[in-house]
Amino acid sequence: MSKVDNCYQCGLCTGFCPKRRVSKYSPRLRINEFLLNKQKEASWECLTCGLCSQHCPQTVDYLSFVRELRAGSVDEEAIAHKSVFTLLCEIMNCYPEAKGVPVDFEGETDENSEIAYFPGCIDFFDCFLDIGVNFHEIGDSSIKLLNKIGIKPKLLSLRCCGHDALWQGHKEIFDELRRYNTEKIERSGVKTLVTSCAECFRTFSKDYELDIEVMHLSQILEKNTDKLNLETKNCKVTYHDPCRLGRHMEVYDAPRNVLQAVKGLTLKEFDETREDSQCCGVSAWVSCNTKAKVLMVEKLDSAIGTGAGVLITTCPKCYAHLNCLKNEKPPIKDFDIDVVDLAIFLSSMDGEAKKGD
Amino acid sequence: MGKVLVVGGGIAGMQTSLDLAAMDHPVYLIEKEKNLGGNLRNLYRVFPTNEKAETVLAGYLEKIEAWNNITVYTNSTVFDFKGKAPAFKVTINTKGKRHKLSVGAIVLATGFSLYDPAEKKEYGYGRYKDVISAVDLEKMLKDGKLERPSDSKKPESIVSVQCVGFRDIRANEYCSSFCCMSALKNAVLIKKEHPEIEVTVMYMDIRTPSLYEQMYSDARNLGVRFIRSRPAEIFEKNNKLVLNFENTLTGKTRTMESDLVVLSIGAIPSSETEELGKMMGLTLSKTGFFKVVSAPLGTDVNGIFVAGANCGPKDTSYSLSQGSAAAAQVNKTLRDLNVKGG
Amino acid sequence: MPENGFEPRIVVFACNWCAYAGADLAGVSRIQYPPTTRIIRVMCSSRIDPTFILKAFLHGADGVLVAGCHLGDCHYIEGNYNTEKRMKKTTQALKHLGFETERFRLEWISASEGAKFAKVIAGFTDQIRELGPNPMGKVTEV
Repeated sequence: MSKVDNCYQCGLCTGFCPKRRVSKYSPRLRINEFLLNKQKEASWECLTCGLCSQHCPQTVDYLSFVRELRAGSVDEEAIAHKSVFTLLCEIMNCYPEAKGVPVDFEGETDENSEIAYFPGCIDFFDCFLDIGVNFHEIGDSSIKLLNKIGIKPKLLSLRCCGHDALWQGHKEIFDELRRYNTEKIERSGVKTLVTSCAECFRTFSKDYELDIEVMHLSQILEKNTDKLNLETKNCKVTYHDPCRLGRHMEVYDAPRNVLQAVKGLTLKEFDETREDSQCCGVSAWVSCNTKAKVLMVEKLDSAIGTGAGVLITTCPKCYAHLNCLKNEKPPIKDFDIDVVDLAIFLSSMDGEAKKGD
Repeated sequence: MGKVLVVGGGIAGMQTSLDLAAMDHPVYLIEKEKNLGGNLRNLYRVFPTNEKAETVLAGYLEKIEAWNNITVYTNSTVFDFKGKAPAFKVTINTKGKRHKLSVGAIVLATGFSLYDPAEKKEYGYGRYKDVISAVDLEKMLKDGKLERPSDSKKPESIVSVQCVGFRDIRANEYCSSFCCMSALKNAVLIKKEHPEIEVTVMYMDIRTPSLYEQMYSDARNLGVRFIRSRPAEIFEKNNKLVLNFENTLTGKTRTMESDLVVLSIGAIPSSETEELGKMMGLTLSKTGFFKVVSAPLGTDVNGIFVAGANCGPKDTSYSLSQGSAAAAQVNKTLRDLNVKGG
Repeated sequence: MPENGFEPRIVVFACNWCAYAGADLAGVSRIQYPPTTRIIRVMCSSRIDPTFILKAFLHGADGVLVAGCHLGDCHYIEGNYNTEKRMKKTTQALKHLGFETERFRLEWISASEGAKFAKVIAGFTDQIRELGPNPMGKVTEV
């Protein structure tokens, strides 16, 4: 069990916790209950965004603590969409002939490339999320961009990376996904794995033990901005740092450098940005409830407050949650901003100047 | 040679010098600044007696002046060092001029530096005018001007935030030991003179050991409010400062407004510590302060001693006690090495 | 897979107003159909969440049939339109997984179509027999 004994109950974590603004959730209190009353009940309100541990003066690893508590007993009620995505993982694991996630995308690929591209579960999102956006496009766009910078990636059909299973407490499901994926990656002979999903990026980097290089799409694009040659007209965008790419993996500059390499684009920052960026509201499909919605509304309002017409993100989940809230029926209100994934956004301006505000 | 070099003219160094002089040891007292006094010069009043620091200092200066065998070099630092007890050869540098000194023992009383609260970006020191440090407050009180730096108005509310940059693995792991007393001292002073000002102390633990506990009681009895919390962030809104925190005793998260916020900062090793340590072959502890190797104040090198806050954060009383202790230890050491005084 | 006379286990989700009534009618009319089905009655076929289908397969069902009212005849007006959309997506997901989508069927059967119900079950059972047992190696705990 992660060591939380040196927590001296100062309350700094709770001062920062976004969930605490909309509920009574207190990381400090949760630790206290564990230390004094041996309370092992899992914490389902926690966003696992990492704002608390980032500032903790005793460097308590609250995220590992929450993850380990959840591994004891999964609360199915807390998981959105009736755990359909977890069920898909279970099926992938127990169905011997199961293929991994679909990797049928447009664009040029090369079976023998040492650079692999993995899109994550985006095609399954299209099956089960009816929120007015297309997730498959993320894959098409990512490959198009990779092609533009001179890379024909190998498409690796792995199983789901297991991020959600891990953070929901489904340790066995995650272990099996990891075992299969690790073997498949090793046998493929690739040296670099590129993913367009912040959660896959964190999971492959931190929760797997891979010998190869793991990169997020924004990082490989950053290395090749000279080949991107993208242009737009008077486009003001703002960028949301996903928790898994930002605080978890400390990648803040790559997506920004890529955006700023687009001619005619102005990047506006949130007031709370980079390591202070506020979570989109949901992680691993856990506790997607009205409290989460308040955080999503705050996020969209802040985005609009920057003056930008487009909110860019580098995580298909953030992309899903914010668009889901935006397109809710009946609508909460009219949010005058588009929420777009980085790959889709960049790919859409390939070749043509685009007006946007 | 019964001569002793005392490096550092703060309270510990001055006390050592006086005690050594009284025991017939000639003293070279060197001080890097233009004047003696060290961190005493930053203070308004010292606890627990609440005497004015400048009065305390004036007292020391008078006594030092009276001793013929204390030679003071200000604007001076140690340039070079060699030899071993009881024959050290030290070169000091005074504004470019070098002096060679032969001494039998050395007492390092180089004091401490202050933590820069601007490092805690979430607290806005340097960004918001009305977020000040405890040392800034001392100066204000000394000048008799308790005002908000932004608009020079008298604050109606003051919050003191404790442990800024201390008891914090991301800054300094240790506790600076005097900041609780310092904050309470000022809270009491302010409340006595301006009972209408709302004074609040945000703390994790109140450290007022031994008879210092009286200061804590006095503060509470004067109506100083206490909130057990480490605030997450401080920002400005509508010309007031706002603190974002969880009150750990009630479990409620709040924002609180204040006209003025005082960040209680503490002691970090002074810049000379590492230099002198290297020069003289002295071990530093993992916190960067000098390590006391042979009690009470001996170092790795026979004949070199430390005193005061340079071997760990401590308050004025403790520092000056160590000053005396160092003098006693020097005297004994020199006698053991068969050196006559004078 | 070799068909050595295994008895398929087929889960049928039938809506109360049409399909279930149709099944009832088949029974009352003594129309025979294979005893391979476990029929679960729901008020409307749109009650069926994709997770039910996935769970049924995970728990070892060899085939799953969702039966509702004909389009336009839904007791709740639009329910079965949602069913159609949802089940299409579920089929898509099963296809993505490399799972034989023939094991999953959506049928519209009215309350008066007792014979149709029996015929559908018989045909589906034959098809499942040919496909063989559910290839999912592990039956998860309920």
